Amino acid sequence: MSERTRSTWQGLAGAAVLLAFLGGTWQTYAAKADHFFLPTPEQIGARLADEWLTVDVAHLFLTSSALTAIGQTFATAVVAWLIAALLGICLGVLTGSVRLLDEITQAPFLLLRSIPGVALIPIFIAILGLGSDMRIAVVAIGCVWPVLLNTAAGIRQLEPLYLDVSRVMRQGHAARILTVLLPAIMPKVFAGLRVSLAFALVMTVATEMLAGSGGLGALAIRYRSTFDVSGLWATLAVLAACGLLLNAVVVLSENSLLKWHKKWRSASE
Amino acid sequence: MNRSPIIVDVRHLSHTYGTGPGKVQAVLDVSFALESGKSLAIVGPSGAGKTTVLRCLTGLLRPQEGELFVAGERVTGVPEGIGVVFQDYSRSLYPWLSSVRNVGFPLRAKGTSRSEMRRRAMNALDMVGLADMGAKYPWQLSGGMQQRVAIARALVTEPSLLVMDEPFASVDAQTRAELEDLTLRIKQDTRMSMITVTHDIDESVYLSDRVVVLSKRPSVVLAELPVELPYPRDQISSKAHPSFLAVRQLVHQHISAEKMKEVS
Repeated sequence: MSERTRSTWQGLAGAAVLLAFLGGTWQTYAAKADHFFLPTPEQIGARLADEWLTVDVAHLFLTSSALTAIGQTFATAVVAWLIAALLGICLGVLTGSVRLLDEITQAPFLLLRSIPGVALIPIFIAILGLGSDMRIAVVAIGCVWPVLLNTAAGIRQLEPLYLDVSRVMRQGHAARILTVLLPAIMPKVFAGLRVSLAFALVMTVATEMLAGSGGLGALAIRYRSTFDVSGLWATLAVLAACGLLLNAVVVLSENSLLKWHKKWRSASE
Repeated sequence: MNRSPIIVDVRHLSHTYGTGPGKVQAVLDVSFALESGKSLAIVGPSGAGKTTVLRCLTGLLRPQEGELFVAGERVTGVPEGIGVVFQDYSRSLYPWLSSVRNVGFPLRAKGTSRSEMRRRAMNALDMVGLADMGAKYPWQLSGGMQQRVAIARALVTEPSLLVMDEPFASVDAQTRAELEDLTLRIKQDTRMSMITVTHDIDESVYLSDRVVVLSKRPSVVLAELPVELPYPRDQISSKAHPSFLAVRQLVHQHISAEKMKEVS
């Protein structure tokens, strides 16, 4: 077993032990204290099994209501994130390379990104109504900033020699952007994409809570307003799992696309 | 009499950086020419406009005054048929590509097929003695090997002119000697024309058929010294040859005189 595999397994084992310990403590305390708002992990688990899970492989082990809710939250978050990624990369490349554009957009961008995305939701509802267009729009605007800023920083920090080399090879502008610029800034861009995805999920849930139109956020609000505490906690557990899954997808694709970067970094340590 | 065509012709090159009180005149008046198949070294004290001259020659910088011709064509952008080797090998090779992909990269701009790119890249790597290092990334190789990859990349398009900007300044002395000999071998085999910018006086004489000595900023040509060393050259007998010693001494004298000006 290689060094890296062993340390990965060690990490996982450590995490499992920690989780088991925390879970055990929670179970014991919650059972004893019998707080209304603090169910035991057992109760949450039972609720998940009842309403969320089935043995049907074809439905990914989820009940149809679970699938609908998770599907909507996922779809909104991912579509909005993809729009934000495209927008952020394009605007980031432009503001990073054209000094004039950078200077013009500094103040307005600073203003816009200082507003917490969640605070924009009521305005977007007022303008665009309660449909999926509004949800996707507000989440996309809210999570574009990490991508935009990281991309612009990547461009500004680009090694000038890379461009000299491209020029003496008589590369065209388009080829230079696609084959030199983008690969060179990819590590920075990916860092921005990872943060942006986390934002996207947060904003999607917040939007669903405020707009009350389906998805996990609306479900959480419904449970809260009916004081269905176990239901609420079960929804939170599902949300956590969604966040972990999305993060894992980004990390895995980053590992394969940016293999060279990981190896390079570990080689120079 | 069959004279080789002039492959590089620099006429009254002049360039100033910046405007206003902070401006710096790097090059005042530099002229020289190179015959096809020969090699030229440009040497001068640090701060001379050597890199400026090179950037004008490779089309990366448009000179304020003067004209440059490569293979009879006026230089307006990057000229065709040149290969360039930069000093900083670790930053001139792309870290997301393997060595063979780095070497084949210039062929992409010409729309060569994948398999043809690979074949020619492997050929070029073979020429620099790195045939089995194709799969390695540049940052997995030593400094000397990285510079060889950079040289291979400059050669892959089979240029008629190789331009090198202080190519061996960042490697140790032994590696430098190996790379100098590699360069001479390549020049013999391909009959390429070569211009090398260097601050190493020994290297300037060893590698060239003519040495152009530049003054400090604002640069002018102090001397053009022909080198009558026979080929093939080697580090031991060539450096003991009377022509080597004579030219070397002259270059040293010019450069020391330049340095004295700074003090006075």
